[in-house]
Amino acid sequence: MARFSTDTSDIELIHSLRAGHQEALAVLYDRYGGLVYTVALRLLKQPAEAEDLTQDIFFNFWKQNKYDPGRAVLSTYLGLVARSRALDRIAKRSTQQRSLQRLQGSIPERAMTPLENATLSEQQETVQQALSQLKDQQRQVLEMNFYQGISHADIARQLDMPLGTVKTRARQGLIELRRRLGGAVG
Amino acid sequence: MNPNKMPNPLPEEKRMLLAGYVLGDLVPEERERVEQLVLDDPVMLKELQALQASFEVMPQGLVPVVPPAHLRERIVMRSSKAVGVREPREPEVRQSRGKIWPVLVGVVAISTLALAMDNLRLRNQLAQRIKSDRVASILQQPNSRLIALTGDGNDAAGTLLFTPGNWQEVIVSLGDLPPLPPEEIYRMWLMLENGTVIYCGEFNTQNDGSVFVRFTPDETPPKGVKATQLLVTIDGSQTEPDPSREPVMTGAI
Repeated sequence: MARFSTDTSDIELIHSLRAGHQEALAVLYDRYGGLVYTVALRLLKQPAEAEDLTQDIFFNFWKQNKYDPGRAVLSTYLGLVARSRALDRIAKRSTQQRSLQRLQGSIPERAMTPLENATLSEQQETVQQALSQLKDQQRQVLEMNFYQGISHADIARQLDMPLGTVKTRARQGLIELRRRLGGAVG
Repeated sequence: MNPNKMPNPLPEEKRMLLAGYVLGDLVPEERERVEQLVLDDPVMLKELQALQASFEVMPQGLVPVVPPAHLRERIVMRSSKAVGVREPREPEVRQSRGKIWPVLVGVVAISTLALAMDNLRLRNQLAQRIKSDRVASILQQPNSRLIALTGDGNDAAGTLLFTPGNWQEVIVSLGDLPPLPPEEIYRMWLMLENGTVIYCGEFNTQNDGSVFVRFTPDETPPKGVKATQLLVTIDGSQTEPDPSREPVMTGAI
């Protein structure tokens, strides 16, 4: 049986997993299970459903070999997959139409950023701090869209404001987030 | 971490456009404009990628919730029970056996004139499928070449992109190819003027019938023999590549 330590890189773990060392999956779960579960729980709101989705994501990660390390670091990939799959589930249980196509194909091939090179806890501290520095109205729209999967049109209805205002706030919020993250994202 | 804050050289209007692109709230005309701007301006491309990176780390902005302890055991147990039933990766580019590069040198020479008229249209089509700075960087090179592929008896269409003089990769972007059952797979071939064909690689489609793959073929065609056509066939996924099968897509060189 292969032995892994906290120093074993994600890439080494993935190679081991693909070579048949299943215990690598447990190590990857120990690293990123919390991130996946957190995103799933925020979107789905039901702990049982978040557990189920987390289990599916890690199981499929192992079973389907879809992850390409050249395209995104694992934390970014799993965070986006968790959001995308959670939105899939919401769409299935909702009569609302949501466009998920872009999200499903949105894991880009770009250079790894300094932020993504940091540890997960460093990433979390940096992003949380950057988000906390946004104007409330910008953060509200960004978070409703990203963390709750609510479309801009539905946000406009819920907040009783013009759609154009929602779009402007979301864009300004993202630009400000990028500015706060600065060189950490390129 | 202590992020280094940098001034942004882009005007507000362009940054708002890029942010809208990342957020997915642009109309088609605006999206096309962004894609063209990004192709033309490396500063715009860099900023788009930075905005995308910012958007994509938002999951890390949530206060972490510790999952219940039994979840780890469930995942480990489930994977243990399922050993031996792994599914193939999809989409997947398997072992590439064709050495297409020397042929592509010839392709460039004979295709430049024929492609000149269509190149801009094809370039725009592919730009709409931008998924990587790799594609953008190839497209930005003035001598990059695109070959159109069209379906035979189906609605599939797409392009093959490469850069003369940099024979490290070919990028293929196709759409509306019928998804195949697990026992079948698409294979791409390069036909030479002497009637022989060279194997380039194989791929599957996404669920929507689209394909976006990068080939790195390695087989060398005979010296001095020109390429005439690109072919896509349906083959058995577990069988040896068979160039005699009826093509489902072709592209004239």
